[in-house]
Amino acid sequence: MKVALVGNQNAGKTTLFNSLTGMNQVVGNWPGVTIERKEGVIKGTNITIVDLPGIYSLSPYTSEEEVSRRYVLDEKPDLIVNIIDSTSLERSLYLTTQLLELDCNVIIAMNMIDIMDSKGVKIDVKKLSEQLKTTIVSISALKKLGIDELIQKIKNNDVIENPHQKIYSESVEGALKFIDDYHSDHHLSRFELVKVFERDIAFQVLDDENIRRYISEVEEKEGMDSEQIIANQRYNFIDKVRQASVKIAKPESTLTDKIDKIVLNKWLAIPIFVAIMALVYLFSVGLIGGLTSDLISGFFNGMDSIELFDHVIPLEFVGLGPWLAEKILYAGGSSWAASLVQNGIVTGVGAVLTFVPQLLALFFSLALLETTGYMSRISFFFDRLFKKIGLSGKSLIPFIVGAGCSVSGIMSARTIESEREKKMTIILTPFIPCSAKLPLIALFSSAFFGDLAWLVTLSLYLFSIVMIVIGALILKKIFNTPAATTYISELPDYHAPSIHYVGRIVGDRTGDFIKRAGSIIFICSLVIWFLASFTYKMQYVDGVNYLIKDSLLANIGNSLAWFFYPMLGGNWSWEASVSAIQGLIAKEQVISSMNVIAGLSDSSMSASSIFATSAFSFFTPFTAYAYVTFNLFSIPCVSAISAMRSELPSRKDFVIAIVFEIVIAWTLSSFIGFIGWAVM
Amino acid sequence: MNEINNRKKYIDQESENGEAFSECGRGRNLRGKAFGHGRRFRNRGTRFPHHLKPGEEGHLSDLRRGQKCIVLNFHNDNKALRRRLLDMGITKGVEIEIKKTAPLGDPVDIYLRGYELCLRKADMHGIDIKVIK
Repeated sequence: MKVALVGNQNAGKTTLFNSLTGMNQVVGNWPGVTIERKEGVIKGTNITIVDLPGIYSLSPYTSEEEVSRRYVLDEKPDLIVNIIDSTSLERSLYLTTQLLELDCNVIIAMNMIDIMDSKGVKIDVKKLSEQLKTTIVSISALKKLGIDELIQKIKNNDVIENPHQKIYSESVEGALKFIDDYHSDHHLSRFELVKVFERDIAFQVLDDENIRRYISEVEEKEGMDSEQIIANQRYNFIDKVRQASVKIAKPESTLTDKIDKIVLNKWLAIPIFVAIMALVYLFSVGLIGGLTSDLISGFFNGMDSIELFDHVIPLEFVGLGPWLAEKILYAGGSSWAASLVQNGIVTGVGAVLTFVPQLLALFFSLALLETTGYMSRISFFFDRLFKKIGLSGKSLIPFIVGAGCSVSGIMSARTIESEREKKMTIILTPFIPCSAKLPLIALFSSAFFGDLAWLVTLSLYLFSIVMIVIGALILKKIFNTPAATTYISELPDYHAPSIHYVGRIVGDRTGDFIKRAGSIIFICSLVIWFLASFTYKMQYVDGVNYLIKDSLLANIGNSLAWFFYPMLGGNWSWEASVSAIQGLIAKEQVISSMNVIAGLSDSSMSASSIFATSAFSFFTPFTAYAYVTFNLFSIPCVSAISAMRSELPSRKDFVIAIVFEIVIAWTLSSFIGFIGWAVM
Repeated sequence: MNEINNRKKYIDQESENGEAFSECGRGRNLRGKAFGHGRRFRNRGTRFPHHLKPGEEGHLSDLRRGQKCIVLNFHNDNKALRRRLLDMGITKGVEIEIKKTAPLGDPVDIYLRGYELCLRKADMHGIDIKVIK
């Protein structure tokens, strides 16, 4: 048995889905978190629950809403659970009136009964059920109230049979009957009849001269067009239902309104936004990063002291890599086996794991922003600015989600209504430094800018915002299609972040990062170590007879180094070139590769910095900034590239995206590199 | 009444020129490039000396925060948008209150049918209303 979860955006479908199935899908507090359908099974049964993106009506407006409509209309679920937000009942019921016209039974799950009282809403469920002629279960998905009752009803199919109540005026009902009789040869659902009456293009096949004439007559009688008639009468019906069963004492001013007065204040809004973002990076990169990164890299590579709040504390530790290498040599292993473990695996994977605490802090801060409801405000007040440059306020959500991972950022662009705004958002989302780029940024800024590292990190984020604006203006010219753009959204109420959900989001994302370190980064480190340790005649680079500059990796790097020559301030560096190229596999791989090369090229490498080694000693603050810039704005990793390919409408757009990003990245970084060249 | 008709005429002219509503009110130089201030500043100028009072008619986009109105009609070329606005409950006779305005003046958060909705002013322009508060 298949059960579809249908409801408005931000009504709590995914929270209910998780409660029903015990699964862990990501939830948030903004409209449009779910963009694809997800299936799960109610524990101990064979009932499949399908979670669908939120919709306001069965006439879809954006591509992710189309997913829901398709499913409900084409795949014909056995039962629909219509989840409605009891605190905005009227709008929720509009979709209900449409669902009740399908040939399918509907259970209404009335959600958020726990906050109903505080909003002054009183609903007489029995009366409401009588009016709508369908089953209603009161639930709170968040507090897990009423879930068992709902499961029982679904399991036992304990549902009032859908009577297809006639809710329209006599003349409209007459028209529907006329259309039905006209097509008496095959059965049409009430929903299809209404669609024909509305002159919906998708149902044109059922149209006919006689039907059209009949519709026109009704339109004349009612004094408006058929679409308006239907919408009007649906809402009239809902009004009637509401008056009979709902009492709303509108509270004077809610807490949300009070917070919005400050957060959306004309003068305070932008300073508050900048302060919040600065705080996020000061906390994650500055504080947490400063405290932990030396310690962790010391654990992997050895250390003799650490610096804590300007105090040097002696702390000697031989390091996991050197310790393992010593054990291997002691056990009679060959020198290259020891090098493989120390310089390949431990250095490569360790370079990435160093940044786990910072990412944990970053994910935590972003998750707070997501679940409290602040995200929707940001998109609300940036819309005017973004509209000017050809984007939508809703583009901001992909950008902020993209600070975690570009792939999920690109996917969340689906909620944007206009095609052009969506395309531009998808292409520009990788400009936002994703969490995998953070290690690179943090490494370079702490090595070259010391205590100001967090400020430089923040500056790179602001730089990326500036580039999004410039990039948008360029893309607007390239796509040059006049777009009818709109922005329809909601401001969800603020609520305190649930520790449970924040914990899960942070856990999931950090888990993904560590998993990548253990899989992709692990394998790449092996490959890089191999390429850097052998010449093309398969002779081992031992540092005496054969040097690392003879290795396979150096040959590959040398063939690419011309591309990176300008941005490195006129330095021919195969090491930096070959590392940057690996950003295609995963952005963390850049620093992982740099660490492996540094370790191999300089055996006396000090644990503190790879920039003391001969391979990377040429970096100056300017070229460091240029190199980071290139990695920031260049094409993203393969998973994000394939996400772009599937989300962009055509191959041409995809090619434009790739070329655009490479050109921007190269031009910018070469420019910065040149300045450095001229200054030094 | 006369003044409202003039205003409508002015706006209609602008939209016929193919100009997005949000930018109408900008001047044009010889090459047709826009100059001068956008709409935000124009509202404070002399063309619209007062805001709409109860009983007067106009567009939803003309209202200020705290004002209430009743929807009279639609005139909107974008079919999909029209459909969506209908779906969201903006039908003839519905009561709408202007709740919040974004810090930069656009979009606007409105209250209707027991819930809140954010819309751009350009889209609100296509909705004719009568002020009741």
